[in-house]
Amino acid sequence: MAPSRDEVFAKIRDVLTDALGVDEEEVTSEATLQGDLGAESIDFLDIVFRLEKEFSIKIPKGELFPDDILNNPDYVEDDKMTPAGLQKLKAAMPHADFSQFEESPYVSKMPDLFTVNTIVNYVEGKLAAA
Amino acid sequence: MRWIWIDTFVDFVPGQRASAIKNVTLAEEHLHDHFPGYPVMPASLIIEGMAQTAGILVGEARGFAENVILAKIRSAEFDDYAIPGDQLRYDAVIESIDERAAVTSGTVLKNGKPIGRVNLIFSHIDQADKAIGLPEHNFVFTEQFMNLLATFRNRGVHGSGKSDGA
Amino acid sequence: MSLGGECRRGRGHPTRSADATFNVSEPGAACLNRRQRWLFDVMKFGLIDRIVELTRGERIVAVKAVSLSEEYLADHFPTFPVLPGVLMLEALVEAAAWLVRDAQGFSSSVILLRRAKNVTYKAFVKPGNLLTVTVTCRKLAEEESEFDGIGHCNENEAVRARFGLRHFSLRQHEGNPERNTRIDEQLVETAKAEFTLLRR
Repeated sequence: MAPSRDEVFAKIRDVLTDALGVDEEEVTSEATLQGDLGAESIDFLDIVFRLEKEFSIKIPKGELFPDDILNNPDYVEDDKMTPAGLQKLKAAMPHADFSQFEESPYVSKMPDLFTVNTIVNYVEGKLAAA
Repeated sequence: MRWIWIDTFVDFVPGQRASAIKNVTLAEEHLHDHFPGYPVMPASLIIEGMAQTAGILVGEARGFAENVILAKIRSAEFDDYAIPGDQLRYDAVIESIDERAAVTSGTVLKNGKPIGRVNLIFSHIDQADKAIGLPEHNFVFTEQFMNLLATFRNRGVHGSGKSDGA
Repeated sequence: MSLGGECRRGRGHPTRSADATFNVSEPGAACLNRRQRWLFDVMKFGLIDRIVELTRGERIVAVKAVSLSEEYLADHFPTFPVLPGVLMLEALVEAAAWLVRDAQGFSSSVILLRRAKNVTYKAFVKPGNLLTVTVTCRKLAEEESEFDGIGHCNENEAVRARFGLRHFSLRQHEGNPERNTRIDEQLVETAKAEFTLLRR
Protein backbone atom coordinates (compact mmCIF):
# COMPACT_ATOMS: atom_id res chain seq x y z
CA MET A 1 0.00 0.00 0.00
CA ALA A 2 1.48 3.36 -0.99
CA PRO A 3 2.20 5.74 1.89
CA SER A 4 -0.05 8.77 2.36
CA ARG A 5 1.14 12.26 1.48
CA ASP A 6 1.50 12.99 5.19
CA GLU A 7 3.70 9.95 5.67
CA VAL A 8 5.83 10.94 2.69
CA PHE A 9 6.11 14.48 4.04
CA ALA A 10 7.15 13.21 7.47
CA LYS A 11 9.91 11.05 6.02
CA ILE A 12 11.13 13.89 3.81
CA ARG A 13 11.13 16.18 6.82
CA ASP A 14 13.40 13.67 8.61
CA VAL A 15 15.71 13.54 5.59
CA LEU A 16 15.97 17.31 5.49
CA THR A 17 16.53 17.78 9.22
CA ASP A 18 19.24 15.12 9.01
CA ALA A 19 20.96 16.44 5.91
CA LEU A 20 20.68 20.15 6.67
CA GLY A 21 20.80 20.20 10.45
CA VAL A 22 17.65 22.30 10.68
CA ASP A 23 14.91 21.91 13.26
CA GLU A 24 11.72 20.03 12.41
CA GLU A 25 9.60 23.16 12.78
CA GLU A 26 11.54 24.91 10.02
CA VAL A 27 10.61 22.23 7.49
CA THR A 28 7.24 23.49 6.26
CA SER A 29 5.70 22.62 2.89
CA GLU A 30 6.48 26.04 1.46
CA ALA A 31 10.01 26.29 2.84
CA THR A 32 12.60 26.74 0.11
CA LEU A 33 15.61 24.45 0.36
CA GLN A 34 18.18 27.13 -0.31
CA GLY A 35 16.60 30.32 1.02
CA ASP A 36 14.80 29.02 4.09
CA LEU A 37 16.68 25.86 4.95
CA GLY A 38 20.19 26.94 3.96
CA ALA A 39 20.95 24.08 1.56
CA GLU A 40 24.19 24.26 -0.44
CA SER A 41 24.70 22.59 -3.80
CA ILE A 42 26.48 19.67 -2.09
CA ASP A 43 23.46 19.32 0.20
CA PHE A 44 21.24 18.78 -2.84
CA LEU A 45 23.35 15.74 -3.71
CA ASP A 46 23.17 14.53 -0.12
CA ILE A 47 19.38 14.92 -0.16
CA VAL A 48 19.02 12.93 -3.40
CA PHE A 49 21.13 10.13 -1.95
CA ARG A 50 19.10 10.01 1.26
CA LEU A 51 15.77 10.08 -0.60
CA GLU A 52 16.90 7.13 -2.70
CA LYS A 53 17.71 5.16 0.43
CA GLU A 54 14.67 6.24 2.42
CA PHE A 55 12.12 5.46 -0.28
CA SER A 56 14.00 2.75 -2.20
CA ILE A 57 13.72 4.71 -5.42
CA LYS A 58 16.25 5.57 -8.06
CA ILE A 59 16.59 9.25 -8.86
CA PRO A 60 18.35 9.67 -12.22
CA LYS A 61 20.66 12.66 -12.47
CA GLY A 62 18.72 15.84 -13.13
CA GLU A 63 15.29 14.37 -12.58
CA LEU A 64 14.63 16.02 -9.22
CA PHE A 65 16.96 18.99 -9.67
CA PRO A 66 17.56 19.55 -13.43
CA ASP A 67 21.01 21.15 -13.20
CA ASP A 68 21.67 21.02 -16.92
CA ILE A 69 18.69 23.23 -17.77
CA LEU A 70 19.22 25.49 -14.76
CA ASN A 71 22.87 26.06 -15.56
CA ASN A 72 22.51 26.29 -19.33
CA PRO A 73 23.53 29.79 -20.47
CA ASP A 74 21.51 29.37 -23.70
CA TYR A 75 18.34 29.67 -21.64
CA VAL A 76 19.32 32.91 -19.94
CA GLU A 77 18.95 36.43 -21.29
CA ASP A 78 19.27 39.62 -19.25
CA ASP A 79 19.34 37.61 -16.03
CA LYS A 80 15.98 36.10 -16.91
CA MET A 81 15.07 32.68 -18.17
CA THR A 82 14.06 32.68 -21.85
CA PRO A 83 10.57 31.43 -22.78
CA ALA A 84 12.16 28.39 -24.41
CA GLY A 85 14.14 27.68 -21.26
CA LEU A 86 11.08 28.11 -19.09
CA GLN A 87 9.18 25.65 -21.25
CA LYS A 88 11.97 23.08 -20.96
CA LEU A 89 12.18 23.57 -17.24
CA LYS A 90 8.45 23.13 -16.73
CA ALA A 91 8.54 19.94 -18.75
CA ALA A 92 11.46 18.66 -16.69
CA MET A 93 9.89 19.61 -13.38
CA PRO A 94 6.21 18.64 -13.29
CA HIS A 95 6.67 18.37 -9.54
CA ALA A 96 7.36 22.08 -9.08
CA ASP A 97 4.97 25.02 -8.75
CA PHE A 98 5.84 27.63 -11.40
CA SER A 99 3.08 30.16 -10.70
CA GLN A 100 5.35 32.63 -8.90
CA PHE A 101 8.46 32.05 -10.99
CA GLU A 102 6.56 32.53 -14.26
CA GLU A 103 5.61 36.08 -13.30
CA SER A 104 9.23 37.10 -12.91
CA PRO A 105 11.54 34.39 -14.19
CA TYR A 106 14.78 35.88 -12.87
CA VAL A 107 17.64 33.44 -12.65
CA SER A 108 18.23 34.54 -9.09
CA LYS A 109 14.74 33.34 -8.19
CA MET A 110 15.23 29.85 -9.58
CA PRO A 111 16.26 28.35 -6.25
CA ASP A 112 12.81 29.30 -4.90
CA LEU A 113 11.34 26.59 -7.13
CA PHE A 114 12.82 24.01 -4.83
CA THR A 115 10.48 23.87 -1.90
CA VAL A 116 9.74 20.97 0.40
CA ASN A 117 6.50 20.56 -1.54
CA THR A 118 8.47 20.13 -4.74
CA ILE A 119 10.22 17.14 -3.20
CA VAL A 120 7.01 15.69 -1.74
CA ASN A 121 5.33 15.93 -5.16
CA TYR A 122 8.32 14.29 -6.83
CA VAL A 123 8.54 11.38 -4.39
CA GLU A 124 4.79 10.79 -4.48
CA GLY A 125 5.01 10.62 -8.26
CA LYS A 126 7.87 8.11 -8.13
CA LEU A 127 6.10 5.90 -5.61
CA ALA A 128 2.89 5.93 -7.60
CA ALA A 129 4.71 4.99 -10.79
CA ALA A 130 6.58 2.14 -9.11
CA MET B 1 53.95 17.44 9.38
CA ARG B 2 53.32 15.65 6.09
CA TRP B 3 49.79 15.24 4.89
CA ILE B 4 49.48 11.48 4.57
CA TRP B 5 47.23 9.93 7.16
CA ILE B 6 47.22 6.29 6.11
CA ASP B 7 50.18 3.91 6.02
CA THR B 8 49.15 1.01 3.82
CA PHE B 9 46.16 -0.59 2.18
CA VAL B 10 45.11 -4.04 3.39
CA ASP B 11 42.11 -4.44 1.15
CA PHE B 12 41.02 -2.85 -2.11
CA VAL B 13 38.08 -3.95 -4.20
CA PRO B 14 37.81 -1.46 -7.08
CA GLY B 15 34.56 0.47 -7.15
CA GLN B 16 33.41 -1.08 -3.89
CA ARG B 17 35.47 -0.97 -0.72
CA ALA B 18 38.92 -0.45 0.69
CA SER B 19 40.68 -0.79 4.03
CA ALA B 20 43.79 1.05 5.13
CA ILE B 21 45.89 0.95 8.26
CA LYS B 22 47.24 3.91 10.21
CA ASN B 23 49.77 3.34 12.95
CA VAL B 24 49.82 5.90 15.74
CA THR B 25 53.37 6.58 16.86
CA LEU B 26 55.18 8.99 19.15
CA ALA B 27 57.45 9.72 16.21
CA GLU B 28 54.64 11.96 14.91
CA GLU B 29 55.12 15.64 15.78
CA HIS B 30 51.49 16.54 16.23
CA LEU B 31 51.03 14.08 19.08
CA HIS B 32 53.42 16.08 21.18
CA ASP B 33 51.07 19.04 20.98
CA HIS B 34 47.88 17.04 21.32
CA PHE B 35 48.33 16.91 24.13
CA PRO B 36 51.68 17.68 25.78
CA GLY B 37 52.24 14.81 28.19
CA TYR B 38 49.12 12.94 27.07
CA PRO B 39 49.29 12.11 23.37
CA VAL B 40 45.95 11.40 21.70
CA MET B 41 45.35 11.01 17.97
CA PRO B 42 43.14 13.99 17.02
CA ALA B 43 39.73 12.91 15.75
CA SER B 44 40.02 15.36 12.87
CA LEU B 45 43.05 13.45 11.59
CA ILE B 46 41.18 10.17 11.96
CA ILE B 47 38.49 11.68 9.74
CA GLU B 48 41.24 12.62 7.27
CA GLY B 49 42.54 9.03 7.31
CA MET B 50 39.11 7.84 6.32
CA ALA B 51 38.86 10.61 3.73
CA GLN B 52 42.14 9.52 2.15
CA THR B 53 41.13 5.85 2.14
CA ALA B 54 37.73 6.63 0.66
CA GLY B 55 39.10 9.32 -1.64
CA ILE B 56 41.56 6.96 -3.29
CA LEU B 57 38.85 4.32 -3.58
CA VAL B 58 36.58 6.85 -5.29
CA GLY B 59 39.34 8.28 -7.48
CA GLU B 60 40.43 4.85 -8.67
CA ALA B 61 36.84 3.97 -9.56
CA ARG B 62 36.88 6.77 -12.14
CA GLY B 63 40.44 6.30 -13.32
CA PHE B 64 41.67 9.30 -11.34
CA ALA B 65 40.11 11.47 -14.01
CA GLU B 66 38.79 14.11 -11.65
CA ASN B 67 39.98 15.95 -8.57
CA VAL B 68 38.21 14.26 -5.67
CA ILE B 69 37.67 16.82 -2.93
CA LEU B 70 36.01 16.36 0.44
CA ALA B 71 32.82 18.42 0.22
CA LYS B 72 30.85 17.36 3.26
CA ILE B 73 31.32 15.25 6.35
CA ARG B 74 27.79 13.89 6.69
CA SER B 75 28.62 12.51 10.09
CA ALA B 76 31.58 11.40 12.16
CA GLU B 77 31.18 9.76 15.55
CA PHE B 78 33.75 8.40 17.92
CA ASP B 79 33.20 6.08 20.88
CA ASP B 80 36.85 5.90 21.89
CA TYR B 81 40.19 7.49 21.15
CA ALA B 82 43.62 6.25 19.98
CA ILE B 83 47.03 6.67 21.57
CA PRO B 84 50.60 5.86 20.46
CA GLY B 85 51.05 2.17 19.84
CA ASP B 86 47.48 1.75 18.64
CA GLN B 87 46.73 0.63 15.12
CA LEU B 88 43.78 2.21 13.38
CA ARG B 89 42.01 0.69 10.42
CA TYR B 90 39.73 2.58 8.05
CA ASP B 91 37.13 0.46 6.23
CA ALA B 92 35.54 2.55 3.49
CA VAL B 93 32.65 1.63 1.22
CA ILE B 94 31.32 3.46 -1.84
CA GLU B 95 27.59 4.02 -1.41
CA SER B 96 27.03 6.01 -4.58
CA ILE B 97 29.22 7.47 -7.31
CA ASP B 98 28.80 9.41 -10.51
CA GLU B 99 30.69 12.07 -12.43
CA ARG B 100 29.72 14.85 -10.03
CA ALA B 101 30.15 13.29 -6.61
CA ALA B 102 30.56 10.21 -4.46
CA VAL B 103 29.05 9.19 -1.15
CA THR B 104 31.04 6.89 1.14
CA SER B 105 30.44 5.29 4.49
CA GLY B 106 33.09 3.90 6.77
CA THR B 107 34.05 2.34 10.05
CA VAL B 108 37.11 3.21 12.12
CA LEU B 109 38.65 0.36 14.09
CA LYS B 110 41.24 0.53 16.83
CA ASN B 111 43.26 -2.66 17.29
CA GLY B 112 40.48 -4.54 15.54
CA LYS B 113 37.64 -3.03 17.54
CA PRO B 114 35.15 -0.58 15.97
CA ILE B 115 35.41 2.84 17.59
CA GLY B 116 33.86 5.18 15.06
CA ARG B 117 31.87 5.80 11.93
CA VAL B 118 32.69 8.39 9.28
CA ASN B 119 30.34 9.14 6.36
CA LEU B 120 31.52 11.49 3.65
CA ILE B 121 30.57 13.17 0.39
CA PHE B 122 33.23 13.99 -2.18
CA SER B 123 32.87 16.43 -5.05
CA HIS B 124 34.52 15.77 -8.36
CA ILE B 125 35.65 19.23 -9.28
CA ASP B 126 36.97 20.54 -12.52
CA GLN B 127 38.17 23.89 -13.75
CA ALA B 128 34.65 25.12 -14.40
CA ASP B 129 33.76 24.73 -10.77
CA LYS B 130 34.27 26.76 -7.61
CA ALA B 131 37.58 28.51 -7.27
CA ILE B 132 39.59 30.61 -9.63
CA GLY B 133 43.09 29.47 -10.22
CA LEU B 134 42.54 25.71 -10.14
CA PRO B 135 45.46 23.95 -11.80
CA GLU B 136 44.58 22.14 -14.99
CA HIS B 137 46.04 18.83 -14.03
CA ASN B 138 44.94 16.49 -11.30
CA PHE B 139 46.49 17.82 -8.11
CA VAL B 140 44.78 15.57 -5.56
CA PHE B 141 46.23 12.21 -6.41
CA THR B 142 49.84 12.74 -5.58
CA GLU B 143 52.65 10.29 -6.04
CA GLN B 144 52.35 9.37 -2.38
CA PHE B 145 48.79 8.20 -2.79
CA MET B 146 49.43 6.42 -6.06
CA ASN B 147 52.39 4.60 -4.49
CA LEU B 148 50.22 3.39 -1.63
CA LEU B 149 47.82 1.82 -4.07
CA ALA B 150 50.58 0.41 -6.26
CA THR B 151 52.29 -1.14 -3.24
CA PHE B 152 49.13 -2.91 -2.28
CA ARG B 153 48.54 -4.20 -5.78
CA ASN B 154 52.11 -5.43 -6.13
CA ARG B 155 51.67 -7.60 -3.09
CA GLY B 156 49.14 -9.71 -4.97
CA VAL B 157 45.52 -10.64 -4.20
CA HIS B 158 46.20 -12.15 -0.80
CA GLY B 159 48.74 -9.48 0.16
CA SER B 160 49.94 -10.27 3.63
CA GLY B 161 52.27 -7.31 3.79
CA LYS B 162 55.25 -9.60 4.23
CA SER B 163 58.45 -8.28 2.75
CA ASP B 164 59.56 -9.94 -0.43
CA GLY B 165 63.11 -9.63 0.66
CA ALA B 166 63.92 -7.14 -2.08
CA MET C 1 57.49 34.80 16.69
CA SER C 2 59.03 37.96 18.06
CA LEU C 3 58.40 39.03 21.60
CA GLY C 4 61.14 41.60 21.88
CA GLY C 5 62.69 41.10 25.29
CA GLU C 6 65.55 38.67 25.68
CA CYS C 7 66.61 36.61 28.62
CA ARG C 8 69.42 38.31 30.53
CA ARG C 9 71.07 34.98 31.05
CA GLY C 10 71.58 34.76 27.34
CA ARG C 11 69.38 31.73 26.85
CA GLY C 12 67.68 33.44 23.97
CA HIS C 13 64.11 32.82 24.98
CA PRO C 14 61.44 35.48 25.40
CA THR C 15 60.77 36.86 28.85
CA ARG C 16 57.86 37.91 30.90
CA SER C 17 57.55 40.57 33.53
CA ALA C 18 57.26 39.77 37.21
CA ASP C 19 53.53 40.31 37.23
CA ALA C 20 53.09 37.24 35.07
CA THR C 21 51.90 39.00 31.94
CA PHE C 22 53.73 38.56 28.68
CA ASN C 23 55.14 42.03 28.39
CA VAL C 24 57.29 42.41 25.33
CA SER C 25 59.03 45.56 26.33
CA GLU C 26 60.73 44.40 29.49
CA PRO C 27 63.92 42.60 28.67
CA GLY C 28 65.70 40.99 31.51
CA ALA C 29 62.57 40.21 33.48
CA ALA C 30 62.10 36.76 35.03
CA CYS C 31 62.62 33.84 32.66
CA LEU C 32 59.66 31.83 31.54
CA ASN C 33 59.43 28.41 33.03
CA ARG C 34 60.41 25.50 30.87
CA ARG C 35 56.91 24.68 29.72
CA GLN C 36 56.18 28.23 28.65
CA ARG C 37 59.45 28.47 26.71
CA TRP C 38 58.75 25.19 25.02
CA LEU C 39 55.39 26.50 23.87
CA PHE C 40 57.07 29.15 21.79
CA ASP C 41 59.58 26.78 20.29
CA VAL C 42 57.59 23.74 19.51
CA MET C 43 53.84 24.24 19.06
CA LYS C 44 52.90 22.96 15.64
CA PHE C 45 49.58 21.23 15.86
CA GLY C 46 47.35 24.01 17.08
CA LEU C 47 44.72 25.42 14.80
CA ILE C 48 43.97 28.61 16.68
CA ASP C 49 46.36 31.54 16.49
CA ARG C 50 44.35 34.12 18.33
CA ILE C 51 41.15 34.43 20.35
CA VAL C 52 39.39 37.61 19.30
CA GLU C 53 36.24 37.50 21.38
CA LEU C 54 34.96 35.32 24.16
CA THR C 55 31.62 35.47 25.92
CA ARG C 56 31.97 32.97 28.72
CA GLY C 57 30.06 29.79 28.09
CA GLU C 58 28.29 31.25 25.05
CA ARG C 59 30.35 32.28 22.10
CA ILE C 60 33.93 32.46 20.93
CA VAL C 61 35.51 34.08 17.89
CA ALA C 62 39.03 33.02 16.95
CA VAL C 63 41.40 33.18 14.04
CA LYS C 64 43.60 30.70 12.17
CA ALA C 65 46.17 32.32 9.91
CA VAL C 66 47.24 30.18 6.97
CA SER C 67 50.84 30.47 5.82
CA LEU C 68 52.74 28.80 3.02
CA SER C 69 55.40 27.99 5.61
CA GLU C 70 53.16 25.26 7.00
CA GLU C 71 54.74 22.01 5.82
CA TYR C 72 51.63 19.98 5.16
CA LEU C 73 50.53 22.46 2.50
CA ALA C 74 53.20 21.03 0.23
CA ASP C 75 51.12 17.85 0.15
CA HIS C 76 47.69 19.51 0.17
CA PHE C 77 47.94 20.08 -2.58
CA PRO C 78 51.09 20.34 -4.66
CA THR C 79 50.53 23.38 -6.97
CA PHE C 80 47.31 24.23 -5.11
CA PRO C 81 47.95 24.72 -1.41
CA VAL C 82 44.76 25.05 0.67
CA LEU C 83 43.88 24.51 4.31
CA PRO C 84 42.60 20.92 4.58
CA GLY C 85 38.92 20.62 5.38
CA VAL C 86 39.55 18.56 8.50
CA LEU C 87 41.82 21.30 9.83
CA MET C 88 39.00 23.80 9.35
CA LEU C 89 36.93 21.46 11.53
CA GLU C 90 39.84 21.20 13.97
CA ALA C 91 39.91 25.01 14.22
CA LEU C 92 36.21 25.00 15.13
CA VAL C 93 36.83 22.20 17.65
CA GLU C 94 39.77 23.97 19.27
CA ALA C 95 37.88 27.23 19.53
CA ALA C 96 35.06 25.36 21.24
CA ALA C 97 37.56 23.67 23.53
CA TRP C 98 38.85 27.06 24.67
CA LEU C 99 35.30 28.13 25.42
CA VAL C 100 34.87 25.00 27.54
CA ARG C 101 38.15 25.51 29.38
CA ASP C 102 37.36 29.11 30.17
CA ALA C 103 33.81 28.31 31.28
CA GLN C 104 34.89 25.39 33.45
CA GLY C 105 37.94 27.04 34.98
CA PHE C 106 40.22 24.59 33.15
CA SER C 107 38.84 21.66 35.11
CA SER C 108 38.69 19.38 32.04
CA SER C 109 42.25 18.50 31.15
CA VAL C 110 41.36 16.44 28.09
CA ILE C 111 38.88 17.72 25.48
CA LEU C 112 38.10 15.60 22.42
CA LEU C 113 35.78 15.74 19.42
CA ARG C 114 33.01 13.20 19.96
CA ARG C 115 30.83 13.77 16.91
CA ALA C 116 30.42 16.09 13.97
CA LYS C 117 27.43 16.43 11.67
CA ASN C 118 26.91 18.12 8.34
CA VAL C 119 30.36 19.65 8.16
CA THR C 120 29.97 21.49 4.86
CA TYR C 121 32.83 23.05 2.94
CA LYS C 122 32.02 26.04 0.78
CA ALA C 123 35.25 27.76 -0.10
CA PHE C 124 38.97 27.11 -0.13
CA VAL C 125 41.19 28.91 2.36
CA LYS C 126 44.51 29.77 0.79
CA PRO C 127 47.86 30.83 2.27
CA GLY C 128 47.94 34.50 3.17
CA ASN C 129 44.34 34.37 4.33
CA LEU C 130 42.71 34.20 7.73
CA LEU C 131 40.02 31.76 8.73
CA THR C 132 37.82 33.42 11.33
CA VAL C 133 35.81 30.90 13.29
CA THR C 134 32.71 31.77 15.25
CA VAL C 135 31.49 29.06 17.58
CA THR C 136 28.32 29.25 19.62
CA CYS C 137 27.57 26.91 22.47
CA ARG C 138 24.28 25.01 22.41
CA LYS C 139 24.88 22.95 25.49
CA LEU C 140 27.60 22.75 28.12
CA ALA C 141 27.63 20.00 30.73
CA GLU C 142 30.52 18.74 32.81
CA GLU C 143 31.61 15.99 30.45
CA GLU C 144 29.99 16.93 27.17
CA SER C 145 29.10 19.97 25.13
CA GLU C 146 27.52 20.86 21.80
CA PHE C 147 28.30 23.64 19.37
CA ASP C 148 27.46 25.26 16.06
CA GLY C 149 30.43 26.67 14.22
CA ILE C 150 31.04 28.77 11.11
CA GLY C 151 34.33 29.71 9.51
CA HIS C 152 34.69 32.75 7.30
CA CYS C 153 37.48 33.72 4.99
CA ASN C 154 37.36 37.20 3.40
CA GLU C 155 33.73 37.44 4.47
CA ASN C 156 32.78 34.32 2.56
CA GLU C 157 31.61 31.28 4.43
CA ALA C 158 34.23 28.56 4.15
CA VAL C 159 32.91 25.94 6.55
CA ARG C 160 30.01 25.26 8.83
CA ALA C 161 29.42 22.42 11.27
CA ARG C 162 27.48 21.17 14.20
CA PHE C 163 29.59 19.16 16.61
CA GLY C 164 29.86 17.73 20.09
CA LEU C 165 32.83 17.45 22.42
CA ARG C 166 33.68 15.03 25.17
CA HIS C 167 35.81 16.23 28.07
CA PHE C 168 37.14 14.90 31.34
CA SER C 169 39.65 15.51 34.03
CA LEU C 170 42.43 13.00 33.67
CA ARG C 171 42.92 12.72 37.39
CA GLN C 172 39.41 11.31 37.64
CA HIS C 173 39.97 8.95 34.76
CA GLU C 174 40.68 5.28 35.28
CA GLY C 175 44.31 4.30 35.62
CA ASN C 176 47.23 5.22 37.81
CA PRO C 177 45.84 8.05 40.01
CA GLU C 178 49.22 9.43 41.00
CA ARG C 179 50.52 9.58 37.45
CA ASN C 180 47.22 10.82 36.07
CA THR C 181 47.11 13.64 38.59
CA ARG C 182 50.61 14.71 37.63
CA ILE C 183 49.79 14.67 33.91
CA ASP C 184 46.50 16.42 34.62
CA GLU C 185 48.32 19.27 36.33
CA GLN C 186 50.75 19.50 33.45
CA LEU C 187 47.95 19.64 30.89
CA VAL C 188 46.10 22.35 32.78
CA GLU C 189 49.23 24.44 33.27
CA THR C 190 50.09 24.22 29.59
CA ALA C 191 46.54 25.08 28.59
CA LYS C 192 46.49 28.12 30.85
CA ALA C 193 49.78 29.35 29.41
CA GLU C 194 48.59 28.90 25.88
CA PHE C 195 45.27 30.59 26.65
CA THR C 196 47.14 33.65 27.89
CA LEU C 197 49.18 33.61 24.71
CA LEU C 198 46.12 33.37 22.47
CA ARG C 199 44.38 36.24 24.18
CA ARG C 200 47.28 38.65 24.46
